[in-house]
Amino acid sequence: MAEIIVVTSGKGGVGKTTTTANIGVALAAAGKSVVLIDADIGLRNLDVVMGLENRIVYDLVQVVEGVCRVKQALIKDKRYENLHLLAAAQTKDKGAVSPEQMVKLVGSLADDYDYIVIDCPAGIEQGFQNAIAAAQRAIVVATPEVSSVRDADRIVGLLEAANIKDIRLVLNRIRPELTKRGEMLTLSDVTDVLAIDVLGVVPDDESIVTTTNRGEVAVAEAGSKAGAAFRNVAARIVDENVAMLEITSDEKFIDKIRKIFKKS
Amino acid sequence: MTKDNAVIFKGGKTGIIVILDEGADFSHISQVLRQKIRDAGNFFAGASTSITFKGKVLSEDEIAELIEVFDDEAGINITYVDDQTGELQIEQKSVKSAKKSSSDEVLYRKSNLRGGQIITHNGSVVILGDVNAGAEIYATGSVMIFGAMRGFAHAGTEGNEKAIVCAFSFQPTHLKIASAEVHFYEGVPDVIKENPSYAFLQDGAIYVDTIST
Repeated sequence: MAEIIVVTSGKGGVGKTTTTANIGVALAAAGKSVVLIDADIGLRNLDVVMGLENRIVYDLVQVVEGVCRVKQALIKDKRYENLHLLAAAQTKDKGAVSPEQMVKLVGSLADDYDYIVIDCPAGIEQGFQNAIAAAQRAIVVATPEVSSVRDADRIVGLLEAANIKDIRLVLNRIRPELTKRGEMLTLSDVTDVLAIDVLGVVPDDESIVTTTNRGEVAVAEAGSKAGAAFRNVAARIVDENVAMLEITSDEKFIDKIRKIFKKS
Repeated sequence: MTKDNAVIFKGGKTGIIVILDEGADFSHISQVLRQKIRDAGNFFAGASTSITFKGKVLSEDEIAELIEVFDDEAGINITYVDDQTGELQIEQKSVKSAKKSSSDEVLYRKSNLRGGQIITHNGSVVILGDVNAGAEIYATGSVMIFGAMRGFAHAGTEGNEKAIVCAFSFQPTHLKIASAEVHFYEGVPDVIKENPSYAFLQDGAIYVDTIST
């Protein structure tokens, strides 16, 4: 039976889709069979981030409407055989699917995969309700900003109300040099408010922009710092005893020398 | 909605004006009043107001009965009754002092109250956890938080001026006690934020202090 995980945040633009794609690829790279579901009906993105937009024939709404079978709508990833994507419809809106239909759809895939990861749309309306309907676990993505943390708090409350008990945080776009100077919320500032377990911390990494635009994912790039962080997140999904990756700032050699002189 | 004109509500400067039909008999008036308050739903809930009766001449017992109806149906706190039907003026407290007691239960909650979540309770509220920004608590009694207070609380919603709000880490955005209100636009001082503190009402104003012996 698959573990069904929803990736959510409340606020838009904090990296839900990037997180979903990276976790999916990292889990697949670790040998797990994975299906990613884009629940953002009407504003689909996950296919682009995965570089699979040209391969879509059928989408989630067509499966629900019975136009095709779910197996026909699954798109095989170009990197890993054991990774599939179920794309959202671009022409419909959130109301095209009900939570009950999502539960049925996800249930029909559960026997064939190790992990089903659902990319939730921003907001707390029907799209959110659809995305969380079938989930057993939730990953809340937040950035170290007050607005993002506020929305994440609301989302955690709604997830708890929906009886999803395993809720863990991915703190995205951390900039160690800013947190060190006290100019950005730290991980402990965020967990003080949210009071949920931390799954991982991902550094702000410019290369995410370029890889995303090329339809590549950071975890597939050997040198990517964000990629390494997402690999760690995926490893901790599989085994919670894996240690969390610490993020340190790239202090330049010259800065270190300066510090030594300051101390003396 | 009840279409009966035996009882008509009007908003006055100082509170609600209740106009009673001179021709209707008292038991009918009492019944219609009850139904109208019910129909109004939460409109009156937690309100604190004075009431003026106009129209029909009422006895002291009859006024007491109508006030009971307000209290039962709306949980409304009547601060003053002005009976303009006769020359009678009654301080509400003397009318019904025996009331209240069953509603003073304590509500315990052992989890965080998160943004967007609301607690409304007749009595005091105890939270074993944090109250986050965007969360709201309304209690007729006190609000005690064994955790951080970052949201909004209204203690003494029905006018209890002895109600307090306290927390281990006290950093609310905005507070009310009875009818007094305070905003913390600049946040609270660090000494309040970092020490168990409480807010209380004194001479009509809300004060915040640390809990220390």
